[in-house]
Amino acid sequence: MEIIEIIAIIFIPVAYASIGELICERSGILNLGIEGNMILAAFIGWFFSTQYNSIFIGLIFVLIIGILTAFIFWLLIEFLELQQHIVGLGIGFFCNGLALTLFRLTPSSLKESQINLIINKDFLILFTGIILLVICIILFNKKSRFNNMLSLISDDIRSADLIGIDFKKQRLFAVLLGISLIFISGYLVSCLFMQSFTMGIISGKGWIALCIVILSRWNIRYILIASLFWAILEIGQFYIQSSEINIPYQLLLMLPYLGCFIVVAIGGSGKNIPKMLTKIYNRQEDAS
Amino acid sequence: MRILNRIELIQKINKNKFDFYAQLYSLLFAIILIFFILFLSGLNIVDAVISFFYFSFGSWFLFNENLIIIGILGISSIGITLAKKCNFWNIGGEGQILLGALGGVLVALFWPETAYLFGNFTAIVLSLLFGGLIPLIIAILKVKRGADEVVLTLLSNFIIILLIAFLVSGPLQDQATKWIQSPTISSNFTLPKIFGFGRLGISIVIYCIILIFFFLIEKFTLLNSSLLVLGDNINSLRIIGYKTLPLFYITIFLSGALCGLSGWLEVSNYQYRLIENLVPSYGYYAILIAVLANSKILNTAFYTIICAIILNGIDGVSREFDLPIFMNYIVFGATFIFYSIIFKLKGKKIIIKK
Repeated sequence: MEIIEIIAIIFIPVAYASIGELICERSGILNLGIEGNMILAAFIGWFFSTQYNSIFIGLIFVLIIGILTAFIFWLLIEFLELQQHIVGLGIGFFCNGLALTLFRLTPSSLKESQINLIINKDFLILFTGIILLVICIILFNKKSRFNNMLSLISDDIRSADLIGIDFKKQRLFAVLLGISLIFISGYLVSCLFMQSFTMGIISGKGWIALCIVILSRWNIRYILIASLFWAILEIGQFYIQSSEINIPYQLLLMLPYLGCFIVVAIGGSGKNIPKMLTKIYNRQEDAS
Repeated sequence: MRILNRIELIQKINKNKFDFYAQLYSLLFAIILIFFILFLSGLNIVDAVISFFYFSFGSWFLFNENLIIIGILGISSIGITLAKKCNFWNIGGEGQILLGALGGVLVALFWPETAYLFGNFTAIVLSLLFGGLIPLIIAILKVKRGADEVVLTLLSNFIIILLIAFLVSGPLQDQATKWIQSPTISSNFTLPKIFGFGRLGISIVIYCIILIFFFLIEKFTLLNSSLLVLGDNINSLRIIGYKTLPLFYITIFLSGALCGLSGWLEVSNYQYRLIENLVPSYGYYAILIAVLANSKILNTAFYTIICAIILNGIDGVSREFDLPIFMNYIVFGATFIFYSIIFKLKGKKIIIKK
């Protein structure tokens, strides 16, 4: 039972972040700031949860900042038509710096604060897992309007525009939802599973989520499988570390990344890429 | 139709034009933003601004610190830019810098008595090979198996960082101090200082040579156009009889090799040993520089200078007022976003006038 719980603790945040990134990418927007988003969410969640002694208030603040970040991201990309790579990396750097700066400025007496979970941890894991499944089923079943809309926008945005779909509104919704899920993922790491915040709390989980989306070829089922595969690899290295086999921990930490590298190298991943990903659609320019 | 073409042309020129003022305004906006954040945390803004500029330009010694960063970061940026020209996103600069440093350090540690010139030459060659190897393998995987270079280069960063962490705390650890670092390299492998005193090393000269070399290639040969076409469509060059794959592989190898070289120059010119955080985040800064420079070699120089000023200024402010060094991430992120906004709005304004 314990091993399932540990797998779930690693699997759930990565799956949330990957699904958030998937939603953004299928709407044609690449968010390279995922790592920074997660760090900021982890900090905000931890800070407000400890300040108000409530994980729900922490979640509310995380969602507010997440939606604000997503809205700025969308404005810069959709209205100013800026390069997605620059905006993504820029916002990522900004969020990362902001979280670490604020943490450093936090009084040392507060830094050690642990979040007091009033609800049973097992229940929270189960609850977040069920929510994850519900999100997957509601958003990504074949009859889902949202799923079909994303497919249309990602495959042929011009057709979507011609038949009168307000693609900007759809993209806004997708970015708000996607980045909110990424923020929730960061919140889950610090508030529900670690109950504290440290500088290296995210330690590449955002980048891993980005890899999982590409590796899974933008397919929700494969994303869940790949996230699980990642969690099992992580657990594997933890178990080897705690066993009597004398392997340096750095090499063990390397195992999940190496495993992913080999899978991507052998399997390839450049297929099924959303056609509108990173592209700017401008009705007037496109018509001319 | 002709009018439309003219507008498109103007748009393209505006998009590609190197704009000093847009960069300057964006930097100012970013600095204002960071000082606003500092103001909220109760800091005297005037003192902070003065110290930012003092630590960037206040003395010959501090000015040299900018040049030190420019030498190392500039070489990596050229490397990443080369790959980006062929539409290959080399996100693995961070790891390649470390791997290049490892290549040089291995020569320096295992053959410490080698003659100065031969030893340095071997170390540089090995750093180039070590740096270029991983991106070359990834380029081959991309061509042969359709693997995604973003994922692979990103993953390679984590693998290499952990490998270096293992080596400097295990087989290559300095046994004398037991610190997490390699032993100091012998003086046979240290590159000279530029004026024979101070910290500024010859890496800045090497950077200038590399910059001029690649700028001339970009300006006066067809190689640049070939790389851009290669980036757009690898088959188009193949159809007109150009041997595309070797060109692609060589470029990607060079991309990693230059990152590797910058890693070794950091070790042989400044650090004299291999450490885990050799040049933290330089690989990521190099990507931003390559993107902002619009894949143009000469433009990378300007953005590298801006990066160096930000890094030094913020480093100084953080030391002076006991503030977190992570502020430079905020300035970087904000600068690049502000820059994109100003550049874009400026372009739009001109088009409306037309």
